[in-house]
Amino acid sequence: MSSLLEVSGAVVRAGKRDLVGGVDLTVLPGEVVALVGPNGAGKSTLLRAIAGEISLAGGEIALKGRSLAHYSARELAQHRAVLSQHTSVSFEFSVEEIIVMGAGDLRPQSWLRDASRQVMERCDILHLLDRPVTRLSGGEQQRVHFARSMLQLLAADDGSKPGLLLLDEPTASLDLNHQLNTVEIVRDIAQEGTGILLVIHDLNLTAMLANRVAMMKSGKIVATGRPDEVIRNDIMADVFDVRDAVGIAPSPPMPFVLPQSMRLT
Amino acid sequence: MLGALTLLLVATAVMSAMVGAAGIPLQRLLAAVIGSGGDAAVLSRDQLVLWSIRLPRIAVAIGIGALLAVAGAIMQGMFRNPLADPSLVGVSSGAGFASAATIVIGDRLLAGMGYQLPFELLPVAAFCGALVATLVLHRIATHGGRTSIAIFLLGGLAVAALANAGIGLLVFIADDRQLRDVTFWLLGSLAGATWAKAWILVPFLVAAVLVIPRIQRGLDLLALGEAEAFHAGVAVQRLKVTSIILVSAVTGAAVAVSGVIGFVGIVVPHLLRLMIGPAHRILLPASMLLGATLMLCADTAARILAAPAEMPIGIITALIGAPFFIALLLRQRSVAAL
Repeated sequence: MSSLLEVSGAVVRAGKRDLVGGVDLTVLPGEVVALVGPNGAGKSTLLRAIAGEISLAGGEIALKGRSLAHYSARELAQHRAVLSQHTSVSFEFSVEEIIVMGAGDLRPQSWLRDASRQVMERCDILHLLDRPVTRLSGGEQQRVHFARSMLQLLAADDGSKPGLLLLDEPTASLDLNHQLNTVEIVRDIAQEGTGILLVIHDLNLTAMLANRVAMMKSGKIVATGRPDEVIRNDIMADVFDVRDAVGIAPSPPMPFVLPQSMRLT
Repeated sequence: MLGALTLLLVATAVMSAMVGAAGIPLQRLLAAVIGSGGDAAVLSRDQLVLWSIRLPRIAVAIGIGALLAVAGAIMQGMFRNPLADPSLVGVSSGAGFASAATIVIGDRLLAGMGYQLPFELLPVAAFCGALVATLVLHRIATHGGRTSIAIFLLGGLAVAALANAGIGLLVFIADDRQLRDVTFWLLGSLAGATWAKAWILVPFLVAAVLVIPRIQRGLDLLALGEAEAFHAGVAVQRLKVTSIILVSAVTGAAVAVSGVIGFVGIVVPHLLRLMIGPAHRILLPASMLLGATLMLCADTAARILAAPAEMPIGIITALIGAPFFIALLLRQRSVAAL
């Protein structure tokens, strides 16, 4: 299968420091890839570069076989959507207005109304539809913006071209129930062909959710593979400085992380 | 909503045409407009008052109000800041300084060559002044795609102080006749309104109406942040350049015609956001209509409150606007830390 996203030798530089130092990464249609690693490893920076927000100092990023540099902002928005780590809204737009903004002017009013209600239902925010988004809790706002990025891809999809969804810590401020709901939604979207690349800190959710895990440290990908191949004691010790953290949950066997202590050096 | 606002504007205009140093009751107003009916002497006097004094002034008030209000609304959207207003953050002062400088310095240069300074030059100069002030402000306050509200307001304070110092310097070197012109830009007034000045505003009003549909979606998405607007397909840099040029041109034109009149750009969009929400598709045209109405009310009050003398309109807009601004600041304080 041809890849949706192809990152080769990507370098992002700030001053003299390489925040991302030569990363190779692919995402296939329908695949969920998780970027994990300690704070400051360059995960969010890499995600922003893939979103087209910051330009590369070296290497190349191609979306659907075409270099990112050759897309206009408008074209890019029809092939990939992004959920930022934190979005603050400066005026009191209602939840529904915010979500519909994602779709732009690609669809008629009636389609927008139905589709926006569907994604709101799916993200469990339909009851908030009239509320000003600025008055919601952090977790609720995160669900609103997640719904908006879903609608953006839905509006652009003509059935033949799966998009790429980039999520920066989509579960960070959610309660347990909504974390699991997000896991389910992400899996469902992937089932329909969308490729998903997400930055995530919760390794247990990662194990439940990802087809592939890419472990980052100091701007480089140090391990990549299925969750059970990457979430291992030796790799965890190397990347996070924790020991004896990984156990295996039964049926279906799945790694889980419960660190006993920090490594004593 | 836009229909109701248009109706309100028309009603205000009719009322404003009726009152003043020489009152014209409604039936005489009608006669004067269609040009027949009633006593011939009264009719010709009414027509003179209406066509050469009152209507041009109404037209200028409508134009200025619409331009200043829409400039405020666009600026607030662009800087993601409900406290932005061209008069508050030095953009109007920049335009005023450029106008005054053109008069004082240009006058001397041209007088040496035996030319009279053409009035049409002033909007161009004012535009340049406004543009420089906006660009400086943008450079100061926006860093890495984020605008700090506190830095923005303080930066605006500095820009305004600088422009006002420049105006002060011009006052110092100006001769008596120029001095009168220069102080006019400091206070703001519609007293010198003529049809010629009203016509100067028309292309700017048309430009605003034409540009609004092209920037309204972008400004909506910009409320989520520059990165988020880009993610949703907005060419952010182009949107900002378009907005900055439009705000500068529109503010410059208003200042060139009427001097610095404050607070319209902050009061009007805020009232409208409370009534119809923040979506720019409606907010921007509604701002033009309500801005025109409020400016007309303020100018009518300026004409009649101390008749036969006239109050500077800037005093009235500041009397309404400044407490409003303070209330807005208090509200902002509770919503987000500056």
